[in-house]
Amino acid sequence: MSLYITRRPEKLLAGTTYSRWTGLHNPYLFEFTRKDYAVTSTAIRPAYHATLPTVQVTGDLTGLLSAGETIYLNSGVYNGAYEVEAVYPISATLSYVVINTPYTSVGGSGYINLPILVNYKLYIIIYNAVTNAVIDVLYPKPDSTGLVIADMAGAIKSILETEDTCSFINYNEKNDKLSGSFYIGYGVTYKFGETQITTTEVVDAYTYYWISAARQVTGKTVLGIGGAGQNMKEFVPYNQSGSAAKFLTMFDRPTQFEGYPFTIGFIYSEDFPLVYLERHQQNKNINSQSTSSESSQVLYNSEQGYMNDLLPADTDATTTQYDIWLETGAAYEDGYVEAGGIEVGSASEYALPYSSGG
Amino acid sequence: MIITEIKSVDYETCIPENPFFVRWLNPIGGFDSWLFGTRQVFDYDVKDKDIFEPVINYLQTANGIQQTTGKEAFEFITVGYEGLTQAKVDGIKYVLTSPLIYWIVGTPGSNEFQTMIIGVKSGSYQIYDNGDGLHNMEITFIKPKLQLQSV
Repeated sequence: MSLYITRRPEKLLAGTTYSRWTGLHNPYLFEFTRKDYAVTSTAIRPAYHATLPTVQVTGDLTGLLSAGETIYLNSGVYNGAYEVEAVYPISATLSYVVINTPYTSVGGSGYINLPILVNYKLYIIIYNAVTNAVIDVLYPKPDSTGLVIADMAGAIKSILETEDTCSFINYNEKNDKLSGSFYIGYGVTYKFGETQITTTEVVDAYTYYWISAARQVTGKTVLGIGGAGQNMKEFVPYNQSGSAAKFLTMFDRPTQFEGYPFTIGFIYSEDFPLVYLERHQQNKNINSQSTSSESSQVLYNSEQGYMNDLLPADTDATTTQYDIWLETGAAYEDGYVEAGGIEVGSASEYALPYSSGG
Repeated sequence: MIITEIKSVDYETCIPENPFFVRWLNPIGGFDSWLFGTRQVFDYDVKDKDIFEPVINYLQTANGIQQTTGKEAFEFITVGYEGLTQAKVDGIKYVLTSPLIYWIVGTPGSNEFQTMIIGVKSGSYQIYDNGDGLHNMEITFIKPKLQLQSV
């Protein structure tokens, strides 16, 4: 008796790194599939029936299924609801089920769902990934094929607060009102005979992130299900070469007006747990020539896992444009020394040398 | 290692007269901003909430037969910008659909400012081609509803 997550809201970035950032104003979908027992194959097995297809099931169906009942079978060409002709439990891990349908060809591996489990429902507990507080619990029911498509967006919107929290003071500031993270635990509940059974909660291994964004239909249907959809994939930086995440602006070239507050948004993704990020900026004049050397600034890693507002560096008197981007910096264990600070272990570790008499 | 696109940002030192600075939540979850100027037109929209007719026992001392229970008033401000490229227009237009628009008021160059949540008046967005391949834009914002007395 199993339930599987068969599709997660994630898109591959590179290697084994996935973007699990989704726009909250679109459906935030998880796909679950109920699979009561695994099926090895479906074929003619003369020992059980000469002409009807027989399903080889991994499991003991004693007392769980009988002739005349209807099962849902997913086994290659045999995909749908079938009436059971006969059941042959063999061992704790093997049973045969003859189904009352014309034989067409051999069916491959799959699963069956049994009718004996009544009022079968999932429970999905959505947890805040930072506080571990329960955000909501959903109880969706599978369709006739055992498929459940559960939308988390409505539940997570309950913690959305549409507010600008930027103070325009720090180099980068998270907005934890307009972005956040969660994880899920799930299981099933059903009636078996006279007993109501609730299975133990399984906690999904991944953390998912949301941002107050609304993605649009792109018309790029050639990409099919592999397209980004509501995923924020192209805005999510990752710690590998080839990462070229976009900033969260709708301007091709944003404009900063002198003297007025300005930030440019980015997703500080979870893929940098051991390395600092740096803001780099190159100021330029009206002829696109550099007006100073490239500046860099280490960002606050405490803001990771949220949408961030990035403050640009100071400009020069002749600056009319600048280029801004993010780079990975030093590893955490290397540490950073703020201006005026003294690196631990260096020759000047002590603020006042003993010889100074201080 | 570079992990984002390299974004070019224009730095505008020429501040328009009567500046009106707006910052809004864009559709991909970040904030964009623009400093409008050109001209500002202020307008009011005042409506009666309801009217009632008090009982008049002595007509000789009455001073009216109708009284409003209260008013609703909104203040509008029309702002614009001249000489915009199509790319800039494409960025600014998302202020129309934003659920969160701030009008930021303060002293330029300081970090002391106030924010005020405003809206866009329906149908107020107008864009004109100035003939040089650039655009002039006008847009009307609704300032916060005025707090008024009622009877």
